[in-house]
Amino acid sequence: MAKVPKPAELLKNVSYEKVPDTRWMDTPVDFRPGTWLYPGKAESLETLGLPNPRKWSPEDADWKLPPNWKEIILEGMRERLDRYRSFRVFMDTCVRCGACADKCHFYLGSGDPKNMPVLRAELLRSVYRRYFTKAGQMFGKFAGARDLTEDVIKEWFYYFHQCTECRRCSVFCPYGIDTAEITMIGRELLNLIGCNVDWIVTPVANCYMKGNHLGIQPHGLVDSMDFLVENIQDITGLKIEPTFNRKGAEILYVPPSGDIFADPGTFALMGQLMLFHETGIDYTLSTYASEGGNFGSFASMELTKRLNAKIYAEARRLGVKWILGGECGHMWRVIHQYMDTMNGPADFLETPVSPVTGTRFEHAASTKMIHVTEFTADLIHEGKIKLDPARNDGVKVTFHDSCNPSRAMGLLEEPRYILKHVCKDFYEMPDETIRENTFCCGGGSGLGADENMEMRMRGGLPRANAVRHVHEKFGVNMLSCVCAIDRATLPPLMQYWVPAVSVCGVHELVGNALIMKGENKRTQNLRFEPLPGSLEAENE
Amino acid sequence: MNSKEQNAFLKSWYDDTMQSCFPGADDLIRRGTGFSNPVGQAFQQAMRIILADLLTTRDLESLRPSLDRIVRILAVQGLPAGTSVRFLFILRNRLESASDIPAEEKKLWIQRLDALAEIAVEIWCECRETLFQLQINGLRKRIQFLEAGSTPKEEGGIA
Repeated sequence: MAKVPKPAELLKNVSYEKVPDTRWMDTPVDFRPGTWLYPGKAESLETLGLPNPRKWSPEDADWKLPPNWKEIILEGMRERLDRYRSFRVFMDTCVRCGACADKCHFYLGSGDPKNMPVLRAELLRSVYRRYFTKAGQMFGKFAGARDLTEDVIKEWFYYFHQCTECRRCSVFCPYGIDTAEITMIGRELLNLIGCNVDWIVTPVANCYMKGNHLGIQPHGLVDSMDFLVENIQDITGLKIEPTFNRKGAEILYVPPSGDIFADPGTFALMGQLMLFHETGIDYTLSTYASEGGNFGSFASMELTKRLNAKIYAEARRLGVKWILGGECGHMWRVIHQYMDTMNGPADFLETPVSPVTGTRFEHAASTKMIHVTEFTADLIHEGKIKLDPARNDGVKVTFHDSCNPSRAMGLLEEPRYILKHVCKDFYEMPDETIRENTFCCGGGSGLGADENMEMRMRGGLPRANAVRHVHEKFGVNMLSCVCAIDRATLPPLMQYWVPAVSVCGVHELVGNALIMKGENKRTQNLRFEPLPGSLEAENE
Repeated sequence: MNSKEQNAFLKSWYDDTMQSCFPGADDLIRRGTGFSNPVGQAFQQAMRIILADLLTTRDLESLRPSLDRIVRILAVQGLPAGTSVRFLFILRNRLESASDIPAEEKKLWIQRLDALAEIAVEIWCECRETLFQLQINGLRKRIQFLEAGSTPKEEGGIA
């Protein structure tokens, strides 16, 4: 029989001297600089038809909430409790076992108790109990309930924007509570009274009006792509000619827009364009749906649906057979978990079939969309492309499982399979920090702004700590990933915590290794750095 | 100081530092190990090295990497510089009040800890500079992007 500790044994480690001065419910939020995000611009809210556009700051005492804000929030909660059974279950089920408590990267990096997923969810649950349960109505705080006040709204705003919706906590919850969905509902409720974040709502407005989060208009998009095509020509001598809005193409290719405009994402996109050219697939891009990512999912289901709908509307208009998504992260949570009930079924499209290998991607029979690493891994598996891993010599690479592709769609093996074929030196980070257990970059779900840099560094510490380990043990100098947000947030994270490690997309390394028909002898990689063994490298 | 005394010192130094820098979270943060608890891991490893080498090392600069591991974490906790290097003064106070350490040894400890505090402040300043530089880099990128978006193609933009 197992030895069960006696109460006295357990209690001897409890120190009552360390109990906080005030209970968590009675501790108002302190908006510490470097931690909170700028509020949404009024014009962005107006573009999207969102309520209560105004100029305000979280540091102000008066947040200029609508007069009936309390009624709006409670009615919003009631609606969502009726609409989403999962939400009600998540509100009722938690037994506060604490399994999630030390799994959140923000808690691990900051020590702020309200960043424990259980307590972050309790911010919302306490209000649920007060207004939607008999026990909460009768016994108030004794039943873990509290009144909805402006201080509670401020606390929600602060802490629901310190959760990257990465779902690491949900992996460890014995009840399967998805705390990310609690955060999502919390943010939805805040949106109802105009408390949103500019880093989210302005990209959403851009995407809604112009097709991508960055707000680049179609001609700007084409020009930027031309620039990448010229770079590829300089490196390989081959002219690649991607098409836009071409009706009748077999595949609609939708990369995240960050990869078209910002390094190191541009290198990953170049690698993909080279691969498509080499395999001769019939694809087109859209200037209307020029964004794979979905910042709408960081604000509300309604905005998620609006942005996701553009991709499928464009697939229908162009008459393609299926959709190929780029190296994106949260795009895949939307596609795999929400798309089918939001905008599906996409029965006007066909189940994706690789035109090169004939592989039928049955798992995408519903969404009709596959991730580019699935496509590439299949090409390698079927021996359809030639690779020279020596071109990546000197790159000692590890792989960061981006939260959404790993935990939301189970994309664990494909990127690794590719990396092992395009590089000679691939090293895994420790088991408890990869695959389903991966640690977030600390800047996902709309938190990748600059004003909250300190919070990002705290949240990214667990990931950086694992990178540091493989850097010191194996000499790893490259952190690869399959998410555009990662490619934006990991470089500063590395610069702070592990400066000797760079960041790349998986397809950047594919592009380097890919042997293309008719190409010039390569002397430079996609970053225009000398290839190992080239004359330039020897001169250096 | 023998190894038993060192371990006892290490434990109380670590506990007090955690309580000082992460109030309300100390027990949980202490519970985890290794990669599931990067703060605890970094503090414990670095403190052990500092305590073991402080008297024996000839060059205090050799302790910079260990100091860096702790200060780099504290520099992003919204704490002022003084609080971020307080962990060294926690140790200093403990050593000062220790009755079983010979006076000469105690003096040496304290001298070296004071010198270490200077290095810690330097590291803190570097970390904060890096942090602000990262923010500036982000802003620069955004401005460059906005400029390119509003500049006609003929003039090098993408408008």
